[in-house]
Amino acid sequence: MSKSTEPKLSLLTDESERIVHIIDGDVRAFGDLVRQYYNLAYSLAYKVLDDPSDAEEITQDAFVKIHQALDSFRGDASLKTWIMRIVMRLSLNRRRDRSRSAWRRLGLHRGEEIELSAPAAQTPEAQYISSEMRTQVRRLVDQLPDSLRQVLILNSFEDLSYDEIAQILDIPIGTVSSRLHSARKKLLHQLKERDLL
Amino acid sequence: MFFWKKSRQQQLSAYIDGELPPPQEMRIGEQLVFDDGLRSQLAELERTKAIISATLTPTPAVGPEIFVANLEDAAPRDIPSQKTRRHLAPAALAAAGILVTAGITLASLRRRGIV
Repeated sequence: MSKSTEPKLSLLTDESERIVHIIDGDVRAFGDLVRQYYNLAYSLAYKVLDDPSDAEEITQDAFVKIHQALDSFRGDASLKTWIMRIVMRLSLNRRRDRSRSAWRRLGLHRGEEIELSAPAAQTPEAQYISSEMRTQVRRLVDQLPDSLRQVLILNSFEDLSYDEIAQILDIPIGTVSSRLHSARKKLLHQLKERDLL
Repeated sequence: MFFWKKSRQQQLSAYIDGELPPPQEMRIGEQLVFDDGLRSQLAELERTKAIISATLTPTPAVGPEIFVANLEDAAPRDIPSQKTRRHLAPAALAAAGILVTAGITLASLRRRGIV
């Protein structure tokens, strides 16, 4: 039942070839890479920021940075993990900047957030819970300590193993497991307190 | 294996993610058959995971196509390849140097009334 994280050799070769093409200035090869990873990058940025336009902006910034930094990619981790690490870092920086803004500190962004989060309720996965419940749970997730929230967000990608999460956050795999457990325990307790479970 | 040392609750958390090594996974599976309390803990954890997952579901992205099209248009100017950029800096410096030298020469010739 353990998720396999072993990279396939042919995939690695294709990946390396593509990176060489991109570094050589092949814009089409870079376009293909963007197409392959855009939705993944956007999803991660969205999960951290809970704002579609911020997420879109961070995703695009991330791909510009990825293009500039590709020649420093050493292949120690997979390209997917490396991209997610960059997106995560940029999203966390944006989140930090946002929390410093006077607009947010005064709570004036709240109406905006509810309006922006509404379309999520139309996707099949989100229909599992009401938009009101989503707003409440999102607030609980946002109140978690950074270290727990990051692991929880990455775990919500079905195809990411603990090993990949460990690589993205640069922490041991055991820490991923214990942080995830702590995050779930806290949320479970809070959901019960609010009769949401 | 760090999973041996962890609490049963933490093992349950890894169990619902399919992250336990096969022997521990089998042991939890066996315990679940006879332990009602454990089954109810598992159900709560699974429901919590589902709620979190639904909460974090993103709105669909506008998509990469417009961005890729803009990239392809802008690439030669705004995102030069690493190789191009490596050559760009010395070339720009040389051009700036030539312009400054020409300017100084012209000014000195003007001062002497030659031009």
